[in-house]
Amino acid sequence: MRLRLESRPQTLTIVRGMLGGVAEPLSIDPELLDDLKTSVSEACNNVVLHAYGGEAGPMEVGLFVGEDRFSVTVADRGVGMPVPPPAGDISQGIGLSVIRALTQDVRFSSAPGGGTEVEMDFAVRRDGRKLFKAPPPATADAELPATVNGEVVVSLSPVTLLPGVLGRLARTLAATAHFSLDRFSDVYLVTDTLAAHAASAADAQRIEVHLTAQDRRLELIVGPFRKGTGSRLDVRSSEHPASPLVLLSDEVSVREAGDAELLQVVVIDHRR
Amino acid sequence: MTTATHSPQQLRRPTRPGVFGQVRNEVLFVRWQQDGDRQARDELVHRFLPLARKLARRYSGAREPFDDLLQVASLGLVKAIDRFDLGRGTAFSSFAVPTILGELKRYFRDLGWAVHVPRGAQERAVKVEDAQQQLSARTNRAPTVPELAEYLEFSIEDVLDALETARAHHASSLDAPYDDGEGESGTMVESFGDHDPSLQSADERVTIGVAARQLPAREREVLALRFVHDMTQTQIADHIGVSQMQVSRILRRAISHLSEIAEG
Repeated sequence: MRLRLESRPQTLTIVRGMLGGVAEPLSIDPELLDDLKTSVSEACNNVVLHAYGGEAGPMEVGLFVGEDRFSVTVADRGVGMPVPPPAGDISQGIGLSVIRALTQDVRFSSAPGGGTEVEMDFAVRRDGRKLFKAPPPATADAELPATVNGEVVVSLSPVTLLPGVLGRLARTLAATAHFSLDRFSDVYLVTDTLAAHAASAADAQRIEVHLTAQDRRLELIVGPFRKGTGSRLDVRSSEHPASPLVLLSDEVSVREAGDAELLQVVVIDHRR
Repeated sequence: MTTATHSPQQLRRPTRPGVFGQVRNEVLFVRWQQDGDRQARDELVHRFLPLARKLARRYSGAREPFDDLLQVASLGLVKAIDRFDLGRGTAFSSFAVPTILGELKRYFRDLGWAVHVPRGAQERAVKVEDAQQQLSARTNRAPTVPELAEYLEFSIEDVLDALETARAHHASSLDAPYDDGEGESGTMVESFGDHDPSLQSADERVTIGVAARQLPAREREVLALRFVHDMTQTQIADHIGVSQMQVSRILRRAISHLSEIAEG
C-alpha cells in the first residue's frame, strides 16, 4: 500500500488513520500497532518539520506486508538526509532513537532526484507468535491516469484492504474539512457502499483512491473498475433501489479511463 | 550542552540547582556509579527529565493520564542512569531512549495491551457522545470533529477514534431500549409508523426498495426518514428520541442488511 500526500500538520492524523484502517483486516497485534504508529509518526514528523524548511511538500508512506516482512517506508523529496544531532543534545533527535528502539532495523537512503527515504522493518513475531495476518501477495498494476490527482492518494493491493482504509481516510479528511457529524456520518455509508462496489467491480488486483477535501466538500475518485459497472449504482426500481452512494452523495459520476472506469463521488456538507 | 529548563513541575524533586553548575554529565555519571554520590544522580535525573517527559507524551493522549506515564518514564530514566556504561562512548540519550520506552511498553503490557486500549476508547466514546449532545443543544446543529476536539481538549485523532468505537458498538446498551419493534419497547416505533403513512409509499419502495419490507421496523423507518424524507441524522434523532450516533448505527446496520438481502 502506498499513500501519497502533502506534508502538513494534519498529515500525521491521516497517516495514523491509514494505519488504523489496515489494523483490522491484517489483525495487527495491538502492541505492534502502537509501535508502528509511534515510529511512523516520528518519521513523518521529521518530514513535516525538516524536509521542506517548514513548508508543505510531497511525501509518500509505503506499507509492505508479507509472510516474513512488515516494513514501512517514509519518503520525501526535500533537503536530504537529516544530520545526526550533536551527542548529548537531549532536546533534538530523539525521534531516531525512538524509531531505533521500536523497530528491528531502520535504513536511510537518498532517493534518486533528491530527498530521503526511511525504511523501517518491524518484528513479525513475538514469543514465537505471528503479530499479523499477511494478505495475499500484492501486484503492481493499475495506476490511474495522470489527469486524476487528489490531495491524498492511496494505492493498495489486495483490494480487500480497501474498506478499512477508504473509510478511515475519508472520515479523517471530512473531519478536517469541518463536516458536521451529520454529514460526517453519511460518509460512513458512502464509503461502505463504495467499498462494497469495489469488492465486486474492481478491475484489477490493485485499487487507487484519490481524496481531496476542503471547506465542507469531500471528493473521492476510486478505480479502476470494470467498464459498465458504475451505471448499475443508479438504477431506480422497486427491485433495484438506488444505492446509498447515489442517495447520499451530491455528485456521482463515472469517468472513462482507458479500458476501465473510475467513480467520482462528491459529498458536500450544505449546513448553513 | 543543553541544560534542562526549570518548570515548576520539574522542581518537585529535591535537587539543589546550581550545586553542579556546568559539571559535565560524564563527571556526574562517575560520581554516582563509582562514588555513590546520590546528589550526582539527582542532578542527572533533573537534566534528563525533559527526555522522559517527551517520551511519556508520545504515549499519552486521552487514553492514559500523562502524569502516570511520566512516572513510568522517570523510573525508566533512573534505571538507564544506573546502568549506563560510560566506557561505550555512546551518548546517554541513545541508551536512555530504549530503556525508557521499554519501561513504558512494559507498563502497557502489564495493564494488558489488548484490554487497556479499548477501555480507554470506550470512555472517550461516551465522552464524545455526551459532548455531541451538549454542543448540538447549544448550537442547534451537529458539531464538527474539530469543535468536539476543542470542547473536550482531545486531539482530532482521539475524537475520530472515539467515533469509530461508538459506531462499532453494536448490540450496545444504548440501543437496548429500542428493540426491533417487538414488545413494549417498540411502541414508539409503531405509533410513529401509524401517523406517517407515507412510509409505505411508492416513493419509499422505489428509493429504498421492496427488500426494505424485510427489515426490522425501526431500520426501515430510519431509512425512509433519511432517504425519502431527506431528514438529517440529527433531525431523525430528535424525531424518534435517540441520539444521532444511534441513528448512524441503525442506518449503517439497515444498509448492510439490505445488501445482504439483495445478495440473497
